[in-house]
Amino acid sequence: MVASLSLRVYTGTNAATESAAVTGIDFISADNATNSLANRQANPVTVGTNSFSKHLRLKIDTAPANSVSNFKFWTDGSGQANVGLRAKLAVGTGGASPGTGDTTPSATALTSDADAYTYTSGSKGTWDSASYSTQDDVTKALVLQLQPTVSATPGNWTQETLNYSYDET
Amino acid sequence: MTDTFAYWAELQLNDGSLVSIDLEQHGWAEPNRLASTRVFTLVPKDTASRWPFVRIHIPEGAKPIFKSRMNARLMGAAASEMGEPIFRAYAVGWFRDGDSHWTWVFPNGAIETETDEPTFNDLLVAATNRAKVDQLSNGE
Repeated sequence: MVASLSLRVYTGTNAATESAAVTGIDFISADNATNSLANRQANPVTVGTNSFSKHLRLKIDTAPANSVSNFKFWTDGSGQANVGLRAKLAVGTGGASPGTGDTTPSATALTSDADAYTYTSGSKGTWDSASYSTQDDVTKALVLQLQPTVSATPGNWTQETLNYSYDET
Repeated sequence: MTDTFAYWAELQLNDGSLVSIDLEQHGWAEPNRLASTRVFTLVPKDTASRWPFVRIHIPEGAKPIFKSRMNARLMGAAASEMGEPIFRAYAVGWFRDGDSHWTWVFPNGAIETETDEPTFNDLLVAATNRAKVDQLSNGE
């Protein structure tokens, strides 16, 4: 069987509560896995403050013939003016769901993170270098945080295109 | 995008026999069989597609290697694109003395050899991303 992986959001204490597969995330002033206009309207991020960090892992829904590995992350290199996007890769430990070693999502600025836009196709970030082969295993976490400065234009964030890849053997 | 590989494989062994391989099947990479493989051919399941046939001759003392690379959007220009698969590239080659020698193939028929990190992969991802943005801008 070809492997099938889905993105999951992790919330709550130590980011240990796993969501169902998601097709979108909200950068908001609360910790939840909801993706809706109402959610964003109810929990806006004030300029000059940070969004709650978003903790993502890839989960194996269908196991590969052998393994999946070499998880990479990259952006197009630039984003909306005055709205920083920070990324912290390879957080915690993967394996049996929901994984371990992550921290509780908060609006406190990430540490040991980087400007997400420094990860480009020519300089991809390593989301996870480990190899997984078992159904329901998850990767290490990728943590994202939006950091709009006081000069940011109010309103919707201009959505970015972020990419990832993994190898399957 | 389909959730099956675009290829199956044909192995020619040292004794001249041919073996058809389902690359999605667990255990297809049986070590003894791979060790006696001298020609590894990727055969496209849809011969009307742009996927090329790829034939690799395995040097003495080397073993054949195969993998695929799934490219996807973590986030896109439109809502609900998180996790959306873009395309899968395939790589076949041989391994000897600690070195891998890959031939990569892409859904547009492009081929790139002798690299662990094909640049065609990233060009195709970027082009696909741009096409998606244009599609959304045109209200499609």
